[in-house]
Amino acid sequence: MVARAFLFLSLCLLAYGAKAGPVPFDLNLALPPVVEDSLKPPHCTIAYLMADIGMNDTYAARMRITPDENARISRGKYPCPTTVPPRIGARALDTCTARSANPKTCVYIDMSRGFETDPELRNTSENASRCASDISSHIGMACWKAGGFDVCNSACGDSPQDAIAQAVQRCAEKHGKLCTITASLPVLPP
Amino acid sequence: MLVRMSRRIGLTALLLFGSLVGAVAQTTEPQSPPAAKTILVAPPTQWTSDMLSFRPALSQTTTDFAALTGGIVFGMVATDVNAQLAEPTPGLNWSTMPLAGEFPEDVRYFWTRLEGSQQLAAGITGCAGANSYVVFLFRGRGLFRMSYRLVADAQCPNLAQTATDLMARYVQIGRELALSVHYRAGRVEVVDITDPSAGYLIPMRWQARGR
Repeated sequence: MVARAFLFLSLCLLAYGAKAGPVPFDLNLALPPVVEDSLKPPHCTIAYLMADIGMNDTYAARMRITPDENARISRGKYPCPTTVPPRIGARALDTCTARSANPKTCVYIDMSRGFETDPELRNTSENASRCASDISSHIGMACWKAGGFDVCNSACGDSPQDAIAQAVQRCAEKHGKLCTITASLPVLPP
Repeated sequence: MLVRMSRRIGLTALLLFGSLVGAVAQTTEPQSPPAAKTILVAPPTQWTSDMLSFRPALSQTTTDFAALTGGIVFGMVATDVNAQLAEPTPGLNWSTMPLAGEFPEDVRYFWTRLEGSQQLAAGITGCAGANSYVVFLFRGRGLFRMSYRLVADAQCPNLAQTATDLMARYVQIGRELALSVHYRAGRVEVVDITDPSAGYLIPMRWQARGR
């Protein structure tokens, strides 16, 4: 009888001990994994604008880049690579070529002076047609109508208005026109 | 020295005159009215940290596509597609469906008016043209293409923006699920939505006859 009571008390003490033991610090039980992920900043995103001058359509492609394991978050953002390989721009251009009946009419949105007379891909700038999420929040474009298609330039900004205003200015400087056809897009997907 | 200075002054005057003429030309040239351009936004792509490979960043399924078409998906047989429409074609069956001559194999089709289908016309901000229609193209294994044919009329003389509106809707779906293409056949604006597994039929386009 005494032995049974002793055993019962020992088990109670063991159970209490297990309850009172310290919780491992790294389990972070109060924070479910989903909530934890949503608190992380979004991956670096590079937004591109392209034009199908055959149909006068404008395409946007967003390229998200998985952060390097050593990447440091700065001002709540993952840094974007300082050098963007051409394959990323080429893949962005595919967004247009895959949807155009004539892939040769797909160009980057930032067009050089005189593009209206020589509308070729080589007369557009890949690196001026993109904005990175660690620097800008919006990509803007401004165009003027040159017959059947729009001749455009793009710029990055901290708001839709800022991105458009800078694109309008760039377009005016490049082409000497009032570029009144405009649009903007957040660099990060909604 | 004097000659050099006078040359420099002459050159400066010429440049000033040139820029003045340029400025006048800029202000007197007809300008496009202010307009907002539609941007067709494709789903994002996720790259690896070394930027060597990529995959779609979103996992989309045929359910996402069906949400745009009112339940129509690739692979459906003609009678099932017909049953999904607001204005179904009476007595539709494979043997009575016409052949689509632009394809080198047994491809058949039927069509419905765009105005009669709210779901298929969703996303269109302006007019769509009273004679515009949607063609459903089938081969033995089922639906492989939906083709919007936008026909201009007196009320809707320019349907380019309507085609862009339709593209804006379908471009949201990844190329792994649906390939959307915008082109012009004569005066008809065409938006084709094609099954990416349709193989050699994918690049084949419709040509408007006698338009």
